[in-house]
Amino acid sequence: MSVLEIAGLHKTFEDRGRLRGGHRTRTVAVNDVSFTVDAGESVGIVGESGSGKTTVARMLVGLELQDQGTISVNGHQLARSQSSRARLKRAKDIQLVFQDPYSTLDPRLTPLECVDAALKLFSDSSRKNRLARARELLDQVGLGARESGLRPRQLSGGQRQRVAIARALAAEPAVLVMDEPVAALDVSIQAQILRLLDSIRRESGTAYVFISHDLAVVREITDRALVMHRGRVVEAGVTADLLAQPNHPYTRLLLASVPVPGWDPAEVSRLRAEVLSTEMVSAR
Amino acid sequence: MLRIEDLSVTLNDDSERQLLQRVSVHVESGEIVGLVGESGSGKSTTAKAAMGLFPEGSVTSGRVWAADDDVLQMDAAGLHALRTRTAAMVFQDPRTTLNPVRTVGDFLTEQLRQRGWKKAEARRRMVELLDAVNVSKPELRMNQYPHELSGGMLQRVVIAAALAIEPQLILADEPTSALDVSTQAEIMALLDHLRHEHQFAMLFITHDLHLAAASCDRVYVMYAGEVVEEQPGVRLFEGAQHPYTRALLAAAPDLHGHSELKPVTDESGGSRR
Repeated sequence: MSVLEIAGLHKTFEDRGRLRGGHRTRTVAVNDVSFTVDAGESVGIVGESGSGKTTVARMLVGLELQDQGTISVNGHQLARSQSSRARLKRAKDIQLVFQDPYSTLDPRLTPLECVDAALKLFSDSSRKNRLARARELLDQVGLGARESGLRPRQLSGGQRQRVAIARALAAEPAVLVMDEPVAALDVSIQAQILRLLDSIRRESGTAYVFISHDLAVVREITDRALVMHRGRVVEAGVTADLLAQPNHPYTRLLLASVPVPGWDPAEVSRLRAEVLSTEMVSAR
Repeated sequence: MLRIEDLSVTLNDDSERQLLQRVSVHVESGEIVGLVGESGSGKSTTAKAAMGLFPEGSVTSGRVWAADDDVLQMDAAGLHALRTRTAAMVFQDPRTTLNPVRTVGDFLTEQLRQRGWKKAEARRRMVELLDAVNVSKPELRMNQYPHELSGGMLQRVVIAAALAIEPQLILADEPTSALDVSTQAEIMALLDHLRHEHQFAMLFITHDLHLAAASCDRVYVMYAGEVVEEQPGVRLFEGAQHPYTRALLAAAPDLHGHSELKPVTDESGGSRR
């Protein structure tokens, strides 16, 4: 059974164009995107800047409202509203973890206070019970009593991302959306966070939507993946199959961009020309 | 072209922190040499040392030679020549290199104008170089502002500016890390092509082990201010000897799911963060 169902999402941005002589330009950021995520499943959205992947994430958590299309969690369609009541209701279903946790953590709050504040939003339990639960969540993401009492600026990038994950889990969401959660981390810290995310999913059954430009990371952390290019899903499938036998020229371009032994980066320019010609044909 | 021998750099404050410990690195003409490691390993400090740039109040020992000149003995004029004629740097984020309120053309012609080129000549030369680094509509780009260009195109502009001085050595500090993966591939292809054509030496700093292995003739691995490993790029993944290098390689995911995603631990020489 699908825990998350996305049908026909569209989003167009209007640029007031102050710097372009006043005339407005319209950018179709997301164009007819549909997909489902099963309970406990991890689905990747792969793409580069301008692909629309971050706009999809922002619509999932209600930071942007779609022009068309629906988002349903456990069969219930989410209200297309940004009222605080609608946002709180949605936050119980879907939580978001950003690339840079520093910008989303209150610099005055320790990890314990931060997770406690999130718990306060979602439950009526006593302060004592909340603090016990906050300690449990912080322990689950590998933060001990000492780190839990420090300020965000005293924590490393990896530790801050652990706090952001614990805070997201406080809502016990059905779906955790992550937008490039390991892109800013050193490789050894990245490995720790990926292993942590894996064990959380196994233990809690939380479904993931994992957004990344990094095919090797997506290979590690997702079961299925969608490839987005210029607002559209150009290819979707089981992640391992998609990477082993890509069909769409853009997927092949992304794969050719990954440095491997014997890599010929010049191949990418040739594939780019192929992607452009495919687009010209489909635009006719 | 670049020879760093036993270079140590220590901060001359209460911490007396050692930034580099007996680092030895060399890059020959036409060679691309990788410097990899995690944040704080000393990669950038090493590259800056090649330009004669050291943290304020630091104490250095060892030798740094750039194109047969002793960098540590240079006077102000010598350092100026090193930084404007012999060597060029390309940084991660081109938007911090370009002044947002000046046109791309102003930025590109500046160095040649300082060398006494006439305005029209400098402009003609830079349009040629923009074309050489595959920037479309180079004439138009000269009149545009940085915000009107994509990140990949701006990095090509920075590379064109570096080429303008016909350097013998290019120090590239994570030049593709802020770019999309396909743009990264195209910039690497461009740097490859230019290096074969102009035979400059290149010190390539990156945190990306797969990129270093696939692109560099030789790779140095740095950890906590020390070079712990040197391997040919093609041998980096199979030939790594040092436990820290092996741990780093094991932590880097690859396309085939072969990585164990093992965190780097104290036993392997890494620090817990």
